[in-house]
Amino acid sequence: MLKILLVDDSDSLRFILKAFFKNVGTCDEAANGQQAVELVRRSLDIDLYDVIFMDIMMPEVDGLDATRQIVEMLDAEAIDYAERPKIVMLTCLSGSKHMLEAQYECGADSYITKPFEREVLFETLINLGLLPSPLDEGT
Amino acid sequence: MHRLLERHPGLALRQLGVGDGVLSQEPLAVSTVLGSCVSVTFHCPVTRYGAIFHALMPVEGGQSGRPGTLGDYKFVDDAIRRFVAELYRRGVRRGDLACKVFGGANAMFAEQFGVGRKNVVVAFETLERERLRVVASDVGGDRGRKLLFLTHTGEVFVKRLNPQCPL
Repeated sequence: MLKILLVDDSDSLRFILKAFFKNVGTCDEAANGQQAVELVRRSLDIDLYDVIFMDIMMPEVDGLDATRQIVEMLDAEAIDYAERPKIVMLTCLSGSKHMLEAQYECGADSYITKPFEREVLFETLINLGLLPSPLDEGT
Repeated sequence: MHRLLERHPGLALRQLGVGDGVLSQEPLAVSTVLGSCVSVTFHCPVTRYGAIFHALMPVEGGQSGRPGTLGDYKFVDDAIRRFVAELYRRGVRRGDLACKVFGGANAMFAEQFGVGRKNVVVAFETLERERLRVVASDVGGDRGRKLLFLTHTGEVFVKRLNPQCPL
């Protein structure tokens, strides 16, 4: 089972995501970037998350800042890429500026725009190596 | 791959090289390998048209094909404009198109450094100008990507390559 962190200030969206992922993982929740950074910090000594779904527009610390802080924390701990939680931005911000900043400056692994199809979430988990891929079977 | 073929019996396979593009209403599994190059996929669930290209450089210098024609897709901006024009010509509506963007890894060689990001900048900005929705993207980093795109479903499967693989 995957260990998933859902970061979004919308209770209802976190509820929906939890329902989507109930067969593939267990979910922790954070309502802003600050809480997310704290949960990741605590997970360093226990069991790292496999994947973090991160909104951008949130109170306290936004998703881009939180992603930067999490990546810096993982760098400081010298955690290998394969072991790191993969960070997927899940946001209604669909402009090129945010997509570029998230993936080139902040260190996000992937970017999904809202509204999204359930299938795109699972496709992303496959593409991050967290669920079996058709490409693993050889061609 | 065999599970994909079970799900989509008779699915034809097609390999995409640098500068190649495919537009199809018939089910196709299109594979390609990207370093700093960029692929954009287009999918219309209504008409079941799917399209993908593999571009090498960000901006067309005027020597590429005519708008609306298919052929050589070396340049990101030109490839997007020509594919979009062709899809509209075939009756696809802008609001039905979902786009995905992949690639743009940072090349290891100094003379190519930054081209991956430039390719992605131009892809995002051209799609924005065309008022097309990017539903998902997986860009940047220091690893190449192997892609498999199903034209009839719009699904894209990505495998990150070993970091030792030169881009």
